[in-house]
Amino acid sequence: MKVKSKLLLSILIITMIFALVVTGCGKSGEEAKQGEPETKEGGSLVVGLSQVPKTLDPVLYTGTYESNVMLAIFDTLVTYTDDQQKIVGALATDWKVSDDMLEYTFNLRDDVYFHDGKYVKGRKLTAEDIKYSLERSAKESAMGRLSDLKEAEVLDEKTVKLVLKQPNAAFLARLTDPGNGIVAKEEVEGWGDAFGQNPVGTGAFVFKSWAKDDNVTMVRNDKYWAAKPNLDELVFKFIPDLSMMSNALISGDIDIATEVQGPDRQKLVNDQNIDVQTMPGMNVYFAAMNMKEGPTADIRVRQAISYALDVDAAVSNIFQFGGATRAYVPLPSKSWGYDSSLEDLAIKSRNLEKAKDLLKEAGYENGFKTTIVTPNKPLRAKWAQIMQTQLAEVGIEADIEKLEWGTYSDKVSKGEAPIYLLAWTWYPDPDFFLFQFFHQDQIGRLGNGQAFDDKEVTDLIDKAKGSTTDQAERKAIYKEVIEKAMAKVPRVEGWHKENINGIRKRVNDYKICPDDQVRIVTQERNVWVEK
Amino acid sequence: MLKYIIKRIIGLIPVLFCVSVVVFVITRVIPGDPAAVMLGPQATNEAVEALRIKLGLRDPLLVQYGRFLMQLLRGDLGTSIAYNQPVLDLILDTFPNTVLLAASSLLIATIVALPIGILSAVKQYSIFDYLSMTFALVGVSMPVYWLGLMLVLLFSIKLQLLPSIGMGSLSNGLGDILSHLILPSIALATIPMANFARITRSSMLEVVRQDYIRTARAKGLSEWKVIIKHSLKNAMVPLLTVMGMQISMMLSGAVLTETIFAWPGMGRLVVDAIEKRDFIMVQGSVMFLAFIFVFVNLCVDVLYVLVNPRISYDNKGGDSSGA
Amino acid sequence: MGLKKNMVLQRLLKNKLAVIGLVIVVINILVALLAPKLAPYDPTHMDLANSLQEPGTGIHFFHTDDTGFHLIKIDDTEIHLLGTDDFGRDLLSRIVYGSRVSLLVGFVSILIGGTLGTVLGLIAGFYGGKIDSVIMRFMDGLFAFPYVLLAITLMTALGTGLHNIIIAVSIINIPGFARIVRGETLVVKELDYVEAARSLGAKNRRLIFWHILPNCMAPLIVYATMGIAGAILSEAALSFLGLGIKPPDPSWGSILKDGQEYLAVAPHITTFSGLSILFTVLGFNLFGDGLRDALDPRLKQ
Repeated sequence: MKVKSKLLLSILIITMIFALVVTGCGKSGEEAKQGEPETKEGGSLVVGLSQVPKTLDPVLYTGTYESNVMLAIFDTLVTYTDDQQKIVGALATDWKVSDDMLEYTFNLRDDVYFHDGKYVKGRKLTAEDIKYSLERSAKESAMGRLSDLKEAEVLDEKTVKLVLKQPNAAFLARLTDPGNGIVAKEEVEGWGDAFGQNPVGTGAFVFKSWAKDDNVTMVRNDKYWAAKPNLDELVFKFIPDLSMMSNALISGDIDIATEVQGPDRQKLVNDQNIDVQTMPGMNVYFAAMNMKEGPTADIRVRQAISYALDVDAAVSNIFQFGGATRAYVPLPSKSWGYDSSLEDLAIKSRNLEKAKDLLKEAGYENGFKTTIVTPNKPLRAKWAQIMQTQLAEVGIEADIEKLEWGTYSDKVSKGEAPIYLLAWTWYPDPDFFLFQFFHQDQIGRLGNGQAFDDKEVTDLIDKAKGSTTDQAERKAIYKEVIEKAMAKVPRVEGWHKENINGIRKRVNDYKICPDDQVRIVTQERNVWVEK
Repeated sequence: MLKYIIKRIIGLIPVLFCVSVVVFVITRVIPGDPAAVMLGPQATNEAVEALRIKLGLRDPLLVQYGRFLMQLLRGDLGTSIAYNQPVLDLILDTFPNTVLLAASSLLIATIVALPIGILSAVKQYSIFDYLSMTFALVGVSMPVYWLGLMLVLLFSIKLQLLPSIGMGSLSNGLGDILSHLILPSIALATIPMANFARITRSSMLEVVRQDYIRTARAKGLSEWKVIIKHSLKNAMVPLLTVMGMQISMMLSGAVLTETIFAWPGMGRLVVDAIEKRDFIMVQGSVMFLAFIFVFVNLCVDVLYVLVNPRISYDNKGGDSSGA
Repeated sequence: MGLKKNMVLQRLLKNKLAVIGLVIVVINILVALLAPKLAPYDPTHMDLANSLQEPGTGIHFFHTDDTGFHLIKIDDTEIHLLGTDDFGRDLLSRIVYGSRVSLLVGFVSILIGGTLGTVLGLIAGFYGGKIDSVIMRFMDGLFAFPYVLLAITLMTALGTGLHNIIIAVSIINIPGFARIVRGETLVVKELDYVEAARSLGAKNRRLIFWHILPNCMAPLIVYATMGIAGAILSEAALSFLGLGIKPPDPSWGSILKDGQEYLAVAPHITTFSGLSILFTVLGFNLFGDGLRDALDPRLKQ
């Protein structure tokens, strides 16, 4: 019996020692740089993606992991510059907009050919293809990516006219979506439902094979209109675990790792053979407060909450290994509508005294109970916990409701969430943010679940969308929209999450984009690799 | 015998019917709907509603259940909402991976546990006996997911010996899959290993005391021959029962193991489906797993009767205790 | 009866492993009860600037040459014996408070699930026939549902929170109890003295609860002890999957989950919370094992 208890004791001790040994850790790091070498042709590039696409049919896709792959295969009529500040022609050389903003007439390039598919053999692109592809998107896209399109008219071989249901200055931005990529009718109809597994487009790379759950492989399109791609082969490899993706980059199994996060970033920075690129993303994370019901309907309470929260401390804790910058304005800092002077309108630093005074004024001297609603996503779940602690310091007792997406969106849309944490990411056009957040028509939908209800702001948003397509004019109107909205303290801005890519040094001419999409060959770049 | 099997199979029908009711009710009680999940933040309310109607989510519940049941009878598990592919196809894509994981764990568990159990019984009350049985109790008490994380920490992060995630691919050779298989199999094997060792030991002890073993010993057969030829064979009976139960327990354990090691198996598929509110997927795969469960148990019972002719198959109570 | 109890206790105390198990269980209960006294900090207090501190933060060991003694010096930084988590909360305090959730879920859900299962098992076993079939087929249906998936779907349906975990863990424990008790009932109801009581005109309810149930108690207690261990594991698993109690309250499973993200840089979070689960569950299992041996010496091998 003695033996038995001694043994047990030694097992306990061994386990404890194991635990302590395993607990130790270390860190250090430096970065190195190289000169500009000469462009080389050939070779293969492997890009890591975290999710497996379900389909590569433009009208059916739902996630960015799918559009990443589609960007290499398909082209759109127009496209954003790589820094996403301006829209330029792609398959269209130029376009005209009618005065009533209802008709867009595009002239097409003359040197665009489809890939060799099963049903089209390198046929030249015509205006009919544009009509077919865009009308298909308008009709079939569940995401409503082209719901504004009334019809497309073929004027001649090289000219196509798009007719809109109502004026929409953000229409061109819609056209840049890979979901509105141009497809060949023969292929779509030939393959039927299997087209999503056998995509054929006009892009820089030709689809070759898809090993389910593992990779999509494509080869270069020698006849690509923008430039002949330097790479022989492009592979998208699917690695669901992000830290595993970083390991694969370090070991050289992949050349580009996307969606690098927190602790992994440090690991990559420490590696001599890897460059880490960072870019504020086209997104904004925020806490919106219900403006129709509950204590937060009172602007003084909303101000008090803004003063009670220490956003800087929260952001630097949640991103203790880097990965985000604090947000002040309800617009991504990389959107062309962003004006840094607007940042001064925000409540920037914590002031508990002021918060308490404001609560007292509003009649909540002893605080109140409320609920923070968040989807079950790690970053926002963390922020909710920090908010809960910080609000408790001014007597606001917040319960956290962590919900699955379906429940969450339902609850927020119905205006049943007192405070909710939302992340919004879309095209760089401010309309995709400000219209969604602050337009009266959006009350009862996810973007404006807080019921921000202001006629003046609504009119301004309509004006920015329907009266002009001039970017500078629109920017001025949006600035006014933001000023008027921020004056009502509808929300507390959280952060702009940074897109981080890890890139092996053998990869050249690659740059990360604000929308976190992987672009290999565009009109501005042509990625190549050292062998 | 055949009569017994047929009787048992008929007995399964009400069980599976109960499962279908339970799973249908629970999945419909879950708040949230798949249409909103599928279309994401930017979808309009109209688009979501249109999709709901298209998916048949607006039909009365009884109609939905009827459809589910009729499909089941035809062996059709429905079409996944999120993937727009037949549920059965998705299951057949992932279930072999789960079976691979479970089978290799079962193999590890048996290979390790049998000798330990036998030795413990033979050398009852020795240091080895105490040590192995204490370890077995630790094993039974192990939170599998934690053990998985600790294995990752030691072998993947600190020692960088083994991959921690995914399954590898055959295109990189069989070794790639094997190296991915090691950690999850060990994690999943722990509890059955501990159980097997305990059961083997206790049933060996019981058999060793029986008269015919004593006779065999008295006849002067060598100790090991007695153990292998007589004791082990008889000790297999209870082990077999436990193994049958462990197989279905392992399907459960696989859910957690697959989550930690991102093993592309069925457990992950179902957890993912629950998150996406893909009811059709959830009910289809649970029905599938329940079917496997009852089928495995049926096989075990039949084997049990075959191995152990002393048991008459007419009055088997079925009061095996699960834990 | 009293004599029998004494013997059981004696046998139990002679079994060293069972005693160790009992000690672990008692320590756990004490820690849970005295959590406010034992925890050095408020378990929900955040110190965002001091997150992911290593174990032993604030304690310095140093060596003085002249005396050769190792001294412990405490400087003005806060002491975190087990380090801090990603929000800078004291890990020791969180683990201490986490024991409350584990034990509460363990005991209450076994109490509820065990009671329901026992009643169903008694009824099924006693009455037999159609009632038996209906109840047991339904139990089989629950049993055929892989229990992790059953728990996950139940939690998704009910939503997170302590009450809901207890409900979910109770439900997954019902069929096990029902089976055990039914099996025992089938045996016990044929015993002579039950027959005798019946012939003396005892009502069914009296028969079930006064004559049959007490005779099922021994295996029931053993099963329940092991069941608590299982329930603690289930709670931790659900919390680990993010379906557990609501933040900021700590539970071992949720601490484990929080630590998973920082496994490479701050492994102490995962390590210590996991060890807590392991030792507690081990304690109940050791005790249950000993209890079984003590209650039924025939089973001791």
